[in-house]
Amino acid sequence: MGAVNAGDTAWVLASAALVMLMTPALGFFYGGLVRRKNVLSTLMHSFVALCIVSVQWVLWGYTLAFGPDWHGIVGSLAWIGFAHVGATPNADYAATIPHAAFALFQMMFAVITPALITGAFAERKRFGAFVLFTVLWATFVYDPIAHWVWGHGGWLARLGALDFAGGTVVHVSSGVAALVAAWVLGPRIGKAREHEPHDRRMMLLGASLVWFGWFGFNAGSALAANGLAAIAFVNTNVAAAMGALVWMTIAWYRDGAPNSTGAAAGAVAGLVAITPAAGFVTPAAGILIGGIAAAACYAAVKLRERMRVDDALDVFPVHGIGGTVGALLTGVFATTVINAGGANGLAYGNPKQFAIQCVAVAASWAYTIVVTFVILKVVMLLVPLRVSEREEHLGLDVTQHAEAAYVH
Amino acid sequence: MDISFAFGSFVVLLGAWTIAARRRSGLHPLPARTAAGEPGFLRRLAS
Repeated sequence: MGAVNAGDTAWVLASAALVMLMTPALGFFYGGLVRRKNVLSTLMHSFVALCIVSVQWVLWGYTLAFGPDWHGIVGSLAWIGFAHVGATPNADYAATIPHAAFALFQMMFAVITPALITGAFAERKRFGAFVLFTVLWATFVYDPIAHWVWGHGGWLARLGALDFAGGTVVHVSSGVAALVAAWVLGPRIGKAREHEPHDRRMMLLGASLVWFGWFGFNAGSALAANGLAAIAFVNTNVAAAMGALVWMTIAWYRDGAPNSTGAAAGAVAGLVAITPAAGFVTPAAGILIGGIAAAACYAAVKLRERMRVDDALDVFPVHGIGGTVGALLTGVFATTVINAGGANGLAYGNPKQFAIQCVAVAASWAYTIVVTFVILKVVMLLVPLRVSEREEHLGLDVTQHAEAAYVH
Repeated sequence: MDISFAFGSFVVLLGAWTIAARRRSGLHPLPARTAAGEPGFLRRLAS
């Protein structure tokens, strides 16, 4: 049993708090992008996801994701209710921090992942359906995929897939689930131009706080206060910055103005893409990854706008495509110079790593599509997924929560 | 013991959310066995 390191523990606990902040910040990011009649409902999606998954994680989520391995697919129920998760370290995951600190840090990842999906069904999903969906999705999609990639004995971990902080586990899964959810729910009433964001100040503040929290997300994933955490921190910041600059520039040329929505979306695209790579690539590669991801996500948004699927806040183009691009580019730019525990990528003479990343991405896509669809169908058996047409016209704040966000 | 109570309370909450959502949607609090509305096990148990 290793000794607890005070510095590492302090950093991971602080990182957990940073990641926790990301979920309400996401609510404000999404909240600014919806119409004023749906602001509270959008904020509530994030806030309640934090509440639901925090409890689910302690009761059974953590053991399914990180518990003793069962055939590489899922964790066993041995750690149900945080049994065996205490003040001493678990060397399989982090040898210098209490097991409970590791589990808490991972809890915040499990919280934000279903919250990310809510942007796809914003402005039309019934609150009760959202609550049931969140419990089921966290249990049957997030927990198994987290085990595959990060669990001790998970099949993708054994294969050698690299995912420093959740490119596949968090962003591919949530982004792809968002596409499925948007497709099953159907589009919002009205034309696209009627769905203009109601408060871009709120959106930009939310995006900035998400960026801030992402330092805990990525640099905290080093699970120690060390040089690797510092590299991940630098990569996170520089990829977000480059992502914002590239998206803003493309929008300037194609749409005629360097708009704030594009700058925020670009920063998030950069953050998403650097997530799997943050602890495996150089800062120069971090700049490239942020820029490439922003361009790819911009193209995906434009493609999505031509589709009939109303992914209201572009969760799939930014998280699904951004996560996929980031996971694949990790297989290109990863180098053992940065992280001896990782692997070299295609650019460093190891094409096999790129192939492994492709397998990880494909498996996450396929599993998420099938299981998310089944979960939505199960929820539909219990409660309607959508609000009525009248409720949608009135807005979800009043009809779902009996409150209004703004008095005037 | 404490784990059982914690589980139980969360499961009760899940049931309460489902019933509240169904009532708010104008549906019977408990699901029917068939699309035609034939009562299932839960409804028979409750009646």
